[in-house]
Amino acid sequence: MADPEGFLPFYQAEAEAVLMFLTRRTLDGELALELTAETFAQAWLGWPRVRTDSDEEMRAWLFTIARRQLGRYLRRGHAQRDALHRLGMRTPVAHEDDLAAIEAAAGIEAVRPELAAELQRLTADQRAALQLRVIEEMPYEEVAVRLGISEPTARARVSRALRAMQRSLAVTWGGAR
Amino acid sequence: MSHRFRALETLESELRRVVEEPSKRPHHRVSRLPRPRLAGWGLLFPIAGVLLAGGTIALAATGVILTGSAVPAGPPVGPTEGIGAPVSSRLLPLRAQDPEGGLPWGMRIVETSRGLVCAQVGRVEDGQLGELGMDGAFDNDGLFHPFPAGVVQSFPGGSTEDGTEIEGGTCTLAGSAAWGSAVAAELWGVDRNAAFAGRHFSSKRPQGRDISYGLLGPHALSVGYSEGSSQHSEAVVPGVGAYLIVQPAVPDSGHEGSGEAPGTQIPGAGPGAVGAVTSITYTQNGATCENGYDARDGAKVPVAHSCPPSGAPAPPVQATQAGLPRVHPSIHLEVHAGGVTAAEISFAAPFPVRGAAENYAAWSNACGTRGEGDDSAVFNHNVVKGGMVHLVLQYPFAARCSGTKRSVEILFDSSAADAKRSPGRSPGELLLATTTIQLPRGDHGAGPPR
Repeated sequence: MADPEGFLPFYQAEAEAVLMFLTRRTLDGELALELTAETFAQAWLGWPRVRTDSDEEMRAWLFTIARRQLGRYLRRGHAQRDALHRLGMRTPVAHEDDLAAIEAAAGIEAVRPELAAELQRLTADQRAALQLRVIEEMPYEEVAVRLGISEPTARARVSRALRAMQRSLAVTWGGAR
Repeated sequence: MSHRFRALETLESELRRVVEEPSKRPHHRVSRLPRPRLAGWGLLFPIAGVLLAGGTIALAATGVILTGSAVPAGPPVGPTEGIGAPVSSRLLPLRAQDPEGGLPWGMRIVETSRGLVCAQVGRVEDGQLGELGMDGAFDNDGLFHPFPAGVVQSFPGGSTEDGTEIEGGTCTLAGSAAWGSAVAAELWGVDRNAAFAGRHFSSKRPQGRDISYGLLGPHALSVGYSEGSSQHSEAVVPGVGAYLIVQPAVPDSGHEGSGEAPGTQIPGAGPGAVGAVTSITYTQNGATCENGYDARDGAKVPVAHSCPPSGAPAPPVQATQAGLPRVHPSIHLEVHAGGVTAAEISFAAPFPVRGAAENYAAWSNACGTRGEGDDSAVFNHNVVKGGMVHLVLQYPFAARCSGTKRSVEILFDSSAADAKRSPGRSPGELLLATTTIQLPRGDHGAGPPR
């Protein structure tokens, strides 16, 4: 079990890597900051579960939480704040120059064309579902109505599109952190 | 330590406040709950007794717990649309003890008429899979509530990465086996009653369960998993490669939900960083091999006999150029008070739609730079070759950039093993026609009601 006193040094060592990871996958520094905050709040709540002293395994565990937050955001269209609320934590507010610095450090301008290209590679129905769900933030019910399909099909279509996109972006970033 | 970004400094201050406040500390003791066989059921018997006196329930075969009404089914789904109707259901010989004892957990496979295979988990009583009326579910009636024979309702609030969500489980295309796909999922923070489906509970949530389950295919032999600080190995159900692991969730861990078990979808691949499974043993060409923990960066934990890379090429998806059937759609506009609210595109199906792996779609490309006017419609029903397909594009002229003409592509989309594609298109996507929808003179494009 991890030592509670080790949590803040762990945050100090990994916070920027998580923020960059999430910024590159959301293309949005502000959102990435929210997800980073929730990730570390979840990590603190789950800290007793850490059963290793291996840096690599601890990092893998942390990024698993970050991926979960990202996946939930992509599926639901909004960042989860359960752990932040539970702990009574405020989400940090970033000033514009700080956000610009975060996005510049993540180099997201460079990946925008690739993202657009990846969108085009999706099937038309996946693209449509993703557009409605993630970009227009419609609930699945409404996505289903708009596309003339059942809600489970809308869910399946969005999730397949997201997975294809995530796979592509993961390849694009190749393990960069 | 100072961070490059001020926002991370602020976040660190917030975390420091929480970490240094004793009341905010998570539980630092992870232990199993006491497991007397029926300890968790003590309160159920008085409740059940009252209900029994009302004559509304029947004694289950074991005599240990009483059976109540079936879990409510969702709206009926026709056998030729959407997920389809269940055609077979099989309870697997797979049981996992609940950490508190009581009815074991189990898994069943349901196949649907549209070619989906669904894996579903729950508590098992008298050869049936179901849920328990406790922890606020079913008004704490203390009864066992079997799942209906079929699994057709969706799983609101849950999520899986691949396929359709259902009550307490997940589905994937049966035909996708040809693409090397398996289904595996994680449910974490599940109530001990196994009542899923995002229901609202009246009582405080008890300690949850983390459930890992999946179908790893015919080549899987066993899974390794961690429990506390120890490692275990368990054989999967032969033929389907089914596994099921139930563990107590860490108290107040804040984790609740569901998702895929990454890395387990592809036969031969190792498990992901999420969930209990740490290794999967396969048989390949008569030899046994193992794939271990697949960390974020792809690194694997050393195993004795690591499986070689599968190297299996992606299934060939033939690009079709000549001889592609063309369709000649007719278009019917729906107009209300001069506003065009929908365009119905109809044509005779050049290919049959035989299940969930195939569909017809209409796609109107975006007319604006931010995706305005981007819309599509999908025909999600079975249809015979030559049968009529009707695709309805809602509000086709709603976008300001629409002008008076919209170009619409008619596509046949297939994930089937024999799928073809048009040149330059995604695998399985056949372009059948490009047609134009014209805004009638004097009418205007209506938008969705606000």
